Amino acid sequence: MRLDICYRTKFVFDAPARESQNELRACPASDGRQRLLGYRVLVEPSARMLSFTDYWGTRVDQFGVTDSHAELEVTAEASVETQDPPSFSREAPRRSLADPDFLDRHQEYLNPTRHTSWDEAMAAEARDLTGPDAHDAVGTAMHIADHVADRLSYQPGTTEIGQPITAILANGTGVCQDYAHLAVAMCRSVGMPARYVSGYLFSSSDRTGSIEGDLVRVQTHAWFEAAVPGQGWLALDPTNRLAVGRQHVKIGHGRDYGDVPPLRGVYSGPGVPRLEAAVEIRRMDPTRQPPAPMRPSLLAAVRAPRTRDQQQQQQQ
Amino acid sequence: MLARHAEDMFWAGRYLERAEDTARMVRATLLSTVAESPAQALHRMHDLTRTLRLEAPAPAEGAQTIAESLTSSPPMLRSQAGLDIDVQAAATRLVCSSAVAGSVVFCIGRARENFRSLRDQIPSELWEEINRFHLQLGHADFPGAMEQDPFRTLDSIRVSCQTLNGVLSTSMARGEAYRFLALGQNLERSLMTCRLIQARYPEMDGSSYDEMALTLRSVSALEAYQRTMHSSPLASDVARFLLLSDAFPRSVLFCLRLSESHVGSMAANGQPPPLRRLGQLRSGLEFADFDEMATDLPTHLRALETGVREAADLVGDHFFRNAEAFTLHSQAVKPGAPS
Amino acid sequence: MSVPGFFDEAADSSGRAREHYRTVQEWFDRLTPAQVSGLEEQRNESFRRQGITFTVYGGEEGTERTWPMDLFPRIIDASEWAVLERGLTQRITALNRFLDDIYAGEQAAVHEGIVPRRLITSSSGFEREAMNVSVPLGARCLVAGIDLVRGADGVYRVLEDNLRNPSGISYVIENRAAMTKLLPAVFSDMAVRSVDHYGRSLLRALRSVAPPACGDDPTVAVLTPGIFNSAYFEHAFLARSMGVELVEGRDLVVDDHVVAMRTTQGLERVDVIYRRIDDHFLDPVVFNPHSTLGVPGLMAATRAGTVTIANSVGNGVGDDKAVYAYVPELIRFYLGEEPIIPNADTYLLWEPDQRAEVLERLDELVVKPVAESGGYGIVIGPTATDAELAEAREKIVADPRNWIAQEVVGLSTLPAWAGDHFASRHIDLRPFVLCGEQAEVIPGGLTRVALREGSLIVNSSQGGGSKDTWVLGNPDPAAAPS
Repeated sequence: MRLDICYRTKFVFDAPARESQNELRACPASDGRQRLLGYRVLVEPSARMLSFTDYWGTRVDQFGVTDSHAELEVTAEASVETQDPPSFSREAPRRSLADPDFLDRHQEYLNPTRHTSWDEAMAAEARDLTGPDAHDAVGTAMHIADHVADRLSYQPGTTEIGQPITAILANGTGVCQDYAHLAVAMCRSVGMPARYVSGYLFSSSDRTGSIEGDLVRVQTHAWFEAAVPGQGWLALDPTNRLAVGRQHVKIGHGRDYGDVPPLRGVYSGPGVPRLEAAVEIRRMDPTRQPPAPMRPSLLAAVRAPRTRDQQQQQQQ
Repeated sequence: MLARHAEDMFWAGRYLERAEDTARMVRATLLSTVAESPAQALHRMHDLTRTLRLEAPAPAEGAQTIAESLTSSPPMLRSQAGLDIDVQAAATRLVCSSAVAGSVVFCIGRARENFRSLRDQIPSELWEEINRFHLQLGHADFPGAMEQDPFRTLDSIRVSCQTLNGVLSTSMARGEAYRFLALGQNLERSLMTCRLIQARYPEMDGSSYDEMALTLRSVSALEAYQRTMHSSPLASDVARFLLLSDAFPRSVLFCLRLSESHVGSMAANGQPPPLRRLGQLRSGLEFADFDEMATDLPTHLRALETGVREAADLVGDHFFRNAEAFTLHSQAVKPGAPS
Repeated sequence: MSVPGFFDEAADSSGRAREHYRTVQEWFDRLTPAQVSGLEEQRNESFRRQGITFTVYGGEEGTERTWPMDLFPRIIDASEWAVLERGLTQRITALNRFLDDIYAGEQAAVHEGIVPRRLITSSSGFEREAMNVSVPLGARCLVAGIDLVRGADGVYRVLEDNLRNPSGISYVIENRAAMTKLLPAVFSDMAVRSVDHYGRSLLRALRSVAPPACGDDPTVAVLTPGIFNSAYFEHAFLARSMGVELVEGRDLVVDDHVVAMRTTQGLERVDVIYRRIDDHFLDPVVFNPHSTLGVPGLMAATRAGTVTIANSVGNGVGDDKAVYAYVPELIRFYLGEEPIIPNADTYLLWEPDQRAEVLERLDELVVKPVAESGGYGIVIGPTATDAELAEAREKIVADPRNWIAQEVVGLSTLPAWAGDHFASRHIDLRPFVLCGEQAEVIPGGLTRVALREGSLIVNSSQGGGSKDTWVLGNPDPAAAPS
C-alpha cells in the first residue's frame, strides 16, 4: 500500500521562547516490510537540520532555534510503500527463548525500563496467562497481546506522561503507548524479548482519529514487537487487536517510549506552550488494496505453519 | 570576557559602592541626630531609609520593617552611645541585617559571592581583602560593636571599603574585568548622589547650615565643597555642586563621565545604546542651565535618575543579555495523546 | 617498621633502605621530631594561604580542611617506572581502541567473541546516545586515571580504570610545588622528573582532538558544574594552567550545531570542551531533561563534528568493573600483546560457577559494585560484619551483573608522619595518562595514603592523605614536552 503521511506539531508559546532545541523521530523506517519513497522536514522559524540514524536505527532530525520565537511548527512529509509482514510459524517452542546466544543478543529487550517496570502481581498475571509450557513463542506473544486488549479500554488523552505499569493495570484504561508498554512488560516478565514500536496507522478502525475516504486524521501510534527465535520480530497491535499489517507504518523501536519519542526537546523562556499535533495519512492507491478489516481476535490472525516456498511467495 | 563574568564584576562594583554609601549616610545621619529630639531623629531615619530605598523586601513573619521598628517603643530611651534606641536599632539594621537588601552586610556578602566565582580574574590580594572584610562583618560580636560604638564601627567599615578600592586600583589590570567593576561602581554612585539630592533638597530649603552640612557629609563632600565654594552654603549651591562639580568624584556629572569612558573603551565599534544614553545624560548635565533646572529640581532629578537606571539596563542588554539565566523546560509529544 | 605480610616500598626484608630511598631516608633520619613538625606547619600555612583545601561534608556547611599531604615522598626508580609507563600506555591504548570499536566501529570485540554482547548492553555506562559519534584520533579517553596497588609479592596490579572524569591531578602538581619549597636540598640531590608541564600537555592533547575543520588555532574551554562542586578548585586550576576559559553550561549556546561562549563581545566559537560534568548532565535534550548544568543541543553539535567533548560521552562502559575483568583479553585482541600490568584476580558474578564460588568465600573477598568509583559501596569480606556480608549476598543474588568480587590485595606500605614519629602506612597510586596524538604518562601520579594505623582506606574523605610521588631519572628527551 502506498501512503503519504504528513506529521505536524506546533508549539504556541504564551510568551516568546528564547531558545528551543528538539529532536524529531517521525521518519518511516525502511525494512523488509516497508520502503521509504520520500521524506522531508520543514521547521518554522527555519532552522538548520542535522539528520542521523540513532542506536536503534531510527532516523533523527535535530534542530535548534536560538532567536526569540512565539511559535514553533514542525512538519514532516513522508511517502512510504508497505506490505503485510511474513507470517510466523508456531514451531518455535517456548524453551527456545532460553538459548544462551538468543539471550545474549536480546539482553536489552528483557529487562524492565522506566516505562516498563513491573511488579510481582503483573508477572503473575502474565504467567497465569501463558503458563510455563503452554504455548510456543508466537502463541505466548499473541496471548499477551490479546490479554492486554481485553484488560484495557481505550481512553483518549488518558496520559500526558507515560503512566507506570501498575497504574495502567489499576486504571484499566490507556492510550496506545500504555497498551504497548503493558504488552512489552508482560512479554519480558515471562522471558520473551519485546520492544516498543512508534509509528503511524492508516485504518478506519483506529480509535484515535477520523476517516474520510482515503484520508485519515490521526495521532502517531504505538504497538510492540516480540522476538521469536529463528524467525525475527513478531509485530502486534494490542490497541486495535490487530496483527500489524500493511496499514501500519513503523518509525522505529526501542526499549520503551523513551527511546523513540516522536518529538522531544527543551525550550527556555518564561512562557508555557500550547501543543497542536496532527497526523494526516492519505492512501495513494485506493483501488488496489483496501485497508485490512479489524479482526475479532489476534489469535484468529495466526496462520497455520507454511512451507518455506509459500513464505517466500508471500514476501515477493 | 565571558558575559557572565562581566555581569558578576559589574554587580560586584555596584554592591561595593552601595555598602560604602550606606555606611557613610548612616554615619552622617546618626551624627546629626545626637542633639535632636526623638521625633526629629526618627524623621531623619525615615528620610534615610527613603534615600537608600532600604526595606527588607519581604519581612519574615513577626519581623518588623525598619519603618515599624522606628515607632515601636516609647521615645526618650537613650542608648550607650547617647542615641535614641529606636534610631540606633534602625541604624544597626541598616548596617548589620543580612535580611535587608542593601545593608552593608548584605552588599559585602553579595560582592564576595560574585568575586568568588571570579577568583581567576581578580588579584588574590583583592580576594583576601574582601574575605577579611566579610569575616569581620560576619563575626558574632559585630552587631554588638555597632550598638556599642556606632561611629567607630562605621568608620572601620569606611576604611575597609577604601582599602578594597585601594587594592582594586593598585593591583588590578585595566582590562575588561576592571572596567565593568568600575562602571558598576560609578553608575551606583551617581544614582546614590542623585537620590541624596532628591531626598535632602526639600529639607535644606532656606534652613540651617546643619542641614546643608549633613547633606554634604553624607557623601564626604563637606570639605571639598567648602574649599570650592568659599561661601556659606545655599541649598541650590549644594545641589549644583553635587550634580555638576567637575572635580568632586561623587558628583553625578563626574560619575557619568567615568562611566561613559569605561563603556566607550569596551564598545568594539560604533556607539552601542548604553554609550549613547550615557553620552546624552552627560552632555545634558554639561550644558544644563542650572538656574533653570533649579526652578523644578525634583522633576529634573527624577528624569536623571530614570536616565541612569536606563543606562544601567542598557549596559546589561548590550553586554550581558546573553548571560541571562532562563529556566529550561522539557517538552515531548506522546503518541495517541494530543493535548 | 614494615608491616608483616605487606610490601615495604622503602626498605628491603632486612630493614635496610632500598637504594632509591636512601637519600630521602637519611635526610629524614637527621631531622628531630620538632623539625618535622615545623615543616608540617609550614606546609599547612602555605596550603591555607593558597586555599588548597577540600571539603569534608557532614558538618553544618561542610568543613574546609587543608589538603593532607604527608612529607615522606613516594619514590619510583627509573627502570620500574619505565615498565609502568609502558604498561599504562598499553592498557589505555587498548581501552581507547575498545571504546572506539564499540561506539564508532564494527564492534569487532563482540563479533569475535572477546566480550559477550550483553556485557555492553547491560552496562550502565554504555551510552546509546553516543553511538556513531566519532572522535578525532579515536581518543575517546583523553585523560585517564588508572589506580594501581602493589601486593605483598611486590607486583603492581591495576585495581580500577577511571576513564570518565578522573580527578586529583591538581593535587599532584600542588604537592610537588609544596615539596620543592619545603625540601629544596633533597631535590637538588636527586633527579626528580617534573610534573608542572601538565597544563601544557593537557592543552596540547585537547587541541590535537579539535575538529579538523576548525583550523590550526582551536579554542579550548573547561566546563565545570560551578563553584559548589567539590572539585571546583581543580577545574579552576586546570583552566588557569592552560590559560583557557572556565565556563559553566549557561555560558555556552548551540547555534546551528555550533557551540559558542557568550562573551561581552558576542558569541565566540568553542572547538574543544574539557568537561568535568557527568554524561547525564551534559545535554538536557537527550539526557536528564532537568539538568541546568548542561548545554541544550551539545550532543547534536558533537555528532555534527563541530566540537569535540573530552572525555567522550559513554566512557563508563570502559571502566565498568565487569568490563575490567576482560581488559587483559582486550589488550591481547586489539594490540596482539601480553598485558604488562596484570589485573587483580576478579570474579564475574553473573557467571553461575564463579558466583557460587564467591558466595562460598564471601568473607575472604572484596565485593564491589561495577559502576561506582572512589571506593563507594565496597564490602571488604575479612573485616565486614555478618550483617554486611548477608546484605552483600542478597544484593549479589538479586542483581549479579552489578557486582564483581576480587581477592584481597594487600596495599604496600611507606613511612608517614604519625604526629611524633614516622610509621608504616598503606598506599596506592593513581597515575594519569594523556592520550592525544600519542600517549603521555605524567611521571608519578597521586599517591594516596591511609593515615590511620592498619587502615586500607586511602580516600581523603575518610582520613586518607596524599604523598608527593617522585619518578627518578632523566626524562627521555624524545618524550619531553615541547
